[in-house]
Amino acid sequence: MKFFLITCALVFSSNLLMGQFEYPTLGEIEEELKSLQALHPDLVSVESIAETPGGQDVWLIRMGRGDEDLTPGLMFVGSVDGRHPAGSVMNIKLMERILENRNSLLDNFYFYFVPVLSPDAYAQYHAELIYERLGNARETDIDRDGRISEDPYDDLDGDGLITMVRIEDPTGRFTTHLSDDRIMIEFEERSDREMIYRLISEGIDNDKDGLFNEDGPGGVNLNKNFSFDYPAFQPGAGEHAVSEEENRKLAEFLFERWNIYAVFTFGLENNLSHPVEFDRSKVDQRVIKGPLEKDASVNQKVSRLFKDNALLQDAEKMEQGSGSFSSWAYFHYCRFSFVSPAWLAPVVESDRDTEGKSDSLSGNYDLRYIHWAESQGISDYFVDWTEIDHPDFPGRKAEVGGFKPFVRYNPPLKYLEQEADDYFTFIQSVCEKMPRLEFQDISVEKAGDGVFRIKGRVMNSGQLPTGTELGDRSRWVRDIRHRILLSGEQELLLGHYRDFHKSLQAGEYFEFSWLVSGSGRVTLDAASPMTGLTTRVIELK
Amino acid sequence: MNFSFRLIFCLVSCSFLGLVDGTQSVSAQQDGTPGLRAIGTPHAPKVQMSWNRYHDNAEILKFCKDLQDAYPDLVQFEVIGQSYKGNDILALTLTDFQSGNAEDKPAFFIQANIHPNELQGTEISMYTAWYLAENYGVVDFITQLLKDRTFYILPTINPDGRDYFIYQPNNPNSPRSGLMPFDDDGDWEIDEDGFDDLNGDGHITMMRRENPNGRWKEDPKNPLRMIRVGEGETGNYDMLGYEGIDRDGDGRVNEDRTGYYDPNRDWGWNWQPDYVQRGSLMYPFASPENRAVKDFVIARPNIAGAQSYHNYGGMFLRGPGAEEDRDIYDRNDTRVYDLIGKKGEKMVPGYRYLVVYKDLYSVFGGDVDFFHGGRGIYSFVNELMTAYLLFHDENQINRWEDTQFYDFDKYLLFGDAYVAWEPYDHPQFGPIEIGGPKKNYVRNHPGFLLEQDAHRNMAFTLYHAYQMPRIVIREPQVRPINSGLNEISVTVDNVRATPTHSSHDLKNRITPPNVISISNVEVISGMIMSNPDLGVGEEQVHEPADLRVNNIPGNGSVHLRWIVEGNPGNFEIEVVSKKGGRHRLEVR
Repeated sequence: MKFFLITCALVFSSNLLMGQFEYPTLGEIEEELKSLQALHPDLVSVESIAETPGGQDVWLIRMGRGDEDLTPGLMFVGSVDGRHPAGSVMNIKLMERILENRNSLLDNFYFYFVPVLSPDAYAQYHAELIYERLGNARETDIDRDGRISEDPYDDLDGDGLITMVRIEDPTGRFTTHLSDDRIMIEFEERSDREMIYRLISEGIDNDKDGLFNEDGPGGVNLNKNFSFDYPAFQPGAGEHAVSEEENRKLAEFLFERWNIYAVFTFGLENNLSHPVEFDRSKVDQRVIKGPLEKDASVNQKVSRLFKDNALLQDAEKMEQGSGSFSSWAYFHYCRFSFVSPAWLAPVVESDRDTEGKSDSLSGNYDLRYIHWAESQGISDYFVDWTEIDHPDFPGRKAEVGGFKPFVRYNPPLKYLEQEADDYFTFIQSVCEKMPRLEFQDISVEKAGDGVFRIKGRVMNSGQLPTGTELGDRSRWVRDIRHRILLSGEQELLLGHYRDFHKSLQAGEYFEFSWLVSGSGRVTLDAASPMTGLTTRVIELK
Repeated sequence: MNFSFRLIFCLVSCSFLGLVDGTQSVSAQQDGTPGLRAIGTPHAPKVQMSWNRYHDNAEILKFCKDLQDAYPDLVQFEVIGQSYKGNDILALTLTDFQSGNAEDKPAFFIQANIHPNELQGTEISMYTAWYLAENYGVVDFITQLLKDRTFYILPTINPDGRDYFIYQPNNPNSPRSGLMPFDDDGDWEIDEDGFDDLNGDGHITMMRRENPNGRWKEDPKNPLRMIRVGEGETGNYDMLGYEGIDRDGDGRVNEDRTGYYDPNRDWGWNWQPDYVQRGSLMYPFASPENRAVKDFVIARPNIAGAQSYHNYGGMFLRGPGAEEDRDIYDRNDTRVYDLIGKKGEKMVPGYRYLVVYKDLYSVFGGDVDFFHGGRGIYSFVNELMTAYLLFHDENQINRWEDTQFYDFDKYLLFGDAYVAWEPYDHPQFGPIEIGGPKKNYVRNHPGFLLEQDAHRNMAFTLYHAYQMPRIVIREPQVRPINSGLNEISVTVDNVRATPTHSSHDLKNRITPPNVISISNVEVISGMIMSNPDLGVGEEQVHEPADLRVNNIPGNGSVHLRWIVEGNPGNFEIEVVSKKGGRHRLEVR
């Protein structure tokens, strides 16, 4: 492990010389986390929740004070998807901002972070051969042909990066973009003037099965390995849902933390710019496939907060995939789950028309990225197409090239500062709207000599529900507990000293009535792990 | 006279052929054991067992060790993992180790007792291991079976629950889970209101209380039995449920007891959360016991058939468990299941061959679905014990509440099966009476029925194991093409009903393809022939010596052809099939 970190650091520095790949190594992240803990020992704890097949730790950071079981928590997760190290950096930047702001947020909330769920995949960013790795380091037979890792990528141009290969081939499905012929696009209809290409990832067909790079090292894609809509036997999905220790231990942690209210994931999926629509046909079945109605409206509400904070403007739709963590967090963990990239290339002003629209980009993110990069003076994002001899395409023109791995969704670090500020304000505004239980209209009637009837309401005075509508169906989400605690010789004449209620929407309430004999003090409380504890003391006389 | 002569002759010739280890006792006639061997039963077993009782974990461990010690060439025993409470999960591997590695033979997998109160699957699994080992060299069929096949037998995959059921007060239905503690009733507290064995007899029976206006009365034919009174009738009792008190003051009795989850909703095929499938845990394989078993199974791709033992009802169940999985059982797969399931109906009278979702109810996350859906393994769940076994009454198949269990107790068990109603002073209900079926009645076989059902159910699994793929390489044909080249054709047969790959397996590429190789020759071209007579086939250009054959169908063949340089001298054909075994033919 130590040796590995040193190797990483060396590669890291050699890439620094190239002016690229400046994201922290796993070792540097670990150091950063531990220094946060050392700086704030009263607020921050760091623990390893799992060891990966590659021998890496999955770090969990817990931030908060007070009774953890009755303080609402928010969870942040990065690098479930190895292609998006910016999500890990965003986690760390968020930690720093929360700690700077310690007095307000940390009095009322717990924050949890798993900045790098798939360190095995993350490590490829700093490896000798750099590519956007999806899988962990488990030895797998991705194409299920009985041979392990027999057809990996091949660095055909020897630049240490895995990009693409385009081959001139009239049977291909790709052509170049009219505005920038470096960009490859899949065409819908053939036309005469177009140059037609076949497009594959950089490599050869090592096992001669007609497929390219379909079985390289790594592994299980953690973002395809969760149990909701699990894509059984698809490449990278693993042998069964939640088969990987990283995922299993994260799930185990989450299920032990009843207080976690919502999960925020950074990845190449997005339900914050584009909230998931309610679709009755998806919930009118035994195995539901879409959010319940009230939960969909919360998604809308939180999405508005996200956009109000100027985050990811002009974002294209990015669906949540089968077996993804963020879908699981809602459908099987039954908490609110929000996911978005940590960063997208902004649309440059020159691509906007007078109404501010960017139709000229026709939804092509590659073009949008290039215009942004050029506007920022970034020039080393692309490996120019260069002809090579490709052994699998003798007699055809083949070129290696394309975007350097990671660049399109992981900008130079300095661009994440503003993004982190905005995201932090977004989280603050979510926290302001969090549910709160409040006692209202408590009255005490004397029903007879020494017998008291205590009535009142418990209301959710926050602007978000106390839990998901789906959580009301789940035994892994705690109901609201409402108790009466007696003193001295008091006796409850009817009912039981505690009651349980399903979730309350914003402004929703339930009523209660207790019949108590004997004067003196009674204590009422109402609580749920996700909203906290509210207590009222009354004197019966 | 004639018959016994032949029997002796056979035994003697068998030992000449080396089928029988000279040290093994094979019959009374040879080793002087008194009495006459009963057909079908080892006469002087090396490991003495009684198959009319239920064994605890310590006894199971002892059995596994004893069997291994007695038959080291046939039996290996190992610990495959630990339960939640740290108990060992045991596995036996049975095969003739002299005739090949266990992992190179098609394997049959048996597990039992996932539900702790369903004890008898353990005894049947142990009986199977015992019967196989004790009959090697005695019954030719068994000898050959152990040469051709491997058996992986896990007598209990819920050791925590088993001893808990045996040694703690329980009722016939409790518990159905492992011992991971959970908050069953959603009141933020864990296991705070379990059963109370009020009368201290080790059984959780029923509570009743006299009520002049009750809805229950004693059955006039059998006072042990309570019956509901009809419309317009008045009874004299209320039923108050299982023995217990309201320990947490929430107005409910026994609502948060040890275990609530169902470990058979925990398996990782089309797993669904608790709000869809009651009883499932947080995520698939959240139970450490199932996780250990699953790892064991995934590590052994030679498992081609699987059996789980449950109770109750007298059934051979196959998937799909859930209607949503209808499509993963196609016609070819169904044919294999039908062959075995219908044979089972003949072998075990009173048991029926059924499909879970269609004939019972939809269930997600069951073991049978993991084996078929997750691993491509043909698998059955047997629901052991049925009221039919009591009086062989056809109307009693799969009946629960009936006078028959009471009659059986009265005439054949002489009152052993029920706790008679006795008064008790309950702290919350006042004067009540306690009585009812003992925990080891109804679901679990009475002793004298156990051995027979063990044998019959074992026979069902041996039939299934027999029908797993058996690969035979036929003698190759060599044909000269010209002076420099020869063509070698070979047919590889699967002489049993099960294909090397189920349809579901093929579709999802769960198990890698079979590889049929030729060695010791220079191969120019390799072909898989769909019609060798008419020259129809497909060439495999890459690595032509090692032909990758997706499936060798049940009771079917594949035809391979190679064009080789020069005149082949000695060469070798090898079949490597995960579920069909490893086979070799040397040609001289």
